[in-house]
Amino acid sequence: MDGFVRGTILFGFISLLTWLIMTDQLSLYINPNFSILVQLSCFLLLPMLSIQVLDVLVPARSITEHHVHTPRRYWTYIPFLAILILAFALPDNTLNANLVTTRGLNSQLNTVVTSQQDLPRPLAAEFSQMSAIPVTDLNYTEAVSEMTTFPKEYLGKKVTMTGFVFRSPGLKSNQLSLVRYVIVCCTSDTLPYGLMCEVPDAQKYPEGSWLTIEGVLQMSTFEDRDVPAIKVTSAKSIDKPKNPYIFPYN
Amino acid sequence: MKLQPIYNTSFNFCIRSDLGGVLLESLITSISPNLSDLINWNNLINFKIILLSIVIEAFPFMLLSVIVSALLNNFVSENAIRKVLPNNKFFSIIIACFLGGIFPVCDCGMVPIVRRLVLKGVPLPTAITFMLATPIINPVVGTATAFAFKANSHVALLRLGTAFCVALLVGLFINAVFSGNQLRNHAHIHQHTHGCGCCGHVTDDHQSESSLATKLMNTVRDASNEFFEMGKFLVMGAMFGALSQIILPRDILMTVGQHSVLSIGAMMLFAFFISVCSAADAFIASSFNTIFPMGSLVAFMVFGPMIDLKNLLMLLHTFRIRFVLSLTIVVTLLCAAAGYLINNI
Repeated sequence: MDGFVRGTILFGFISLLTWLIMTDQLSLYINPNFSILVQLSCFLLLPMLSIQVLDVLVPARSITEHHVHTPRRYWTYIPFLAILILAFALPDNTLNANLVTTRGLNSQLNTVVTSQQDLPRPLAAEFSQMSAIPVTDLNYTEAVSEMTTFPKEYLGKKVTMTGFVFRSPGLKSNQLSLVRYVIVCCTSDTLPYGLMCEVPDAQKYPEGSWLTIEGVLQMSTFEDRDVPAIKVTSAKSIDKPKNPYIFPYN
Repeated sequence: MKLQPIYNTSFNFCIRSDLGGVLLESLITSISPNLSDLINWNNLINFKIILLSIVIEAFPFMLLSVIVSALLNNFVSENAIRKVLPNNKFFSIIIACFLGGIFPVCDCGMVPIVRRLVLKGVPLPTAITFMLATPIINPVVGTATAFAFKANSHVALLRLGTAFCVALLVGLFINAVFSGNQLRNHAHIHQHTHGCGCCGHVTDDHQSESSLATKLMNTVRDASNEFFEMGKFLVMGAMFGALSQIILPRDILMTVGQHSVLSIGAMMLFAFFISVCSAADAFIASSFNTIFPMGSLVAFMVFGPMIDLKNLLMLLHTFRIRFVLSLTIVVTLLCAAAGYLINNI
């Protein structure tokens, strides 16, 4: 019976990992760079499952057993079963907007900066040549960081960006934040990162819904401070993209 | 090395000048009225995602280490290990600090390996130093740390250097104070045969008789047993880690981060509960970079892989309580001291 439970759990994990790999959902949980490790795990689990099945089917192999399977033993399997149940039973495999409040928006993603001159600015030269800044999945962190740290260099430039809506407390009725989750290593250390946008009908976009916007970067005020914001010229609601997260160090 | 936080577009932060009662009050008022808000569908989804993320990222390392442990058990005899290590305890402790170069194992799976080593005759101080140092002083974690703190290359060195000092001092402490192998008695009880489904066996007597195939099969069986035994702690630690990520509000962290001593304590407490692997630690630490001073981040990155919730549970399961408590206290004090030193240099 013990072996049966174990076999089921091992099979459950193999199925879960294989399913995630085959439906391309692994990047929703961990950094794609590490996905090879997960594939390795599947291979490592297979012999374990085989031996378990073997031991259940051919019990004569086990030599003397003189222990008691008290019901207490089965408690050890509860955490594993809980994980499998949570994984398969709950739908929705991407983080929703609720995490933004806990994590705090725009806590500095960049590293130690003692003075602003030390901040590495890999795309600054390229951006200064362009009159329109397209914010894409690949340049997201650099672009947003440039615009928030050195807004004066980008005032008046056209910006296109995609993200989900988040209403930070303190925003006026025509303001919303356009945010994406940035994942450096794994989903557990995800950081919300985004920009403030101003659009007259801001209230009509529900929190968590995805938008693609075009606009012009300007200075605005938030809680008595001057902060950069995108004055939106056109906004389009879109479906949640297949790859909602940003992986900056790929 | 005090850092100046940058608040360019910080939408959600507020700074309090006094600590103490304000801290406690804000902690309580942040969590309790919101408790009913917290338990909603969206938070449950986020919890599930973060939980699965932690488990999946730790999974390969956990598997690798139970397999390494099982291989050690079945293929390496006591005598071989005794021959490799220098007789002088002091040197063997020093060497233990650097074995991570060959065994880049995550801290998720250290305890099964260490137990196996101790049962095989490795002296306790050496084994514990190995347990503390290896998850940090290895190429994988060193690279991850350097990567996470990109503009600041000396953070990786700070982390590794501190880990080395702490591990070494702990090894010397154990050498001076404890004797024997300090394993809990029931670890010896399960010295029976393979088919039983318990935590494994000690096989010095019939090892040489078994064929390669039998040895391999036994390796897989042992790995499987240890996976279920230790894996449940990984899962429980991950649940706690995921929960703390969902619940802890940011502005409290901000207040605490300003304080030189309290920030160290807070980061170490956080490291204890978050229970993620030593490579992931670095990225989590770097996300707190502008809120917390460097000393507390290094304390986080050194204390976490050494002693955290899941490790503590596994240690209590494996070693005697008095030993585990002493170990925990000494590691805590050393990490805190290191953090304080770094903060104030």
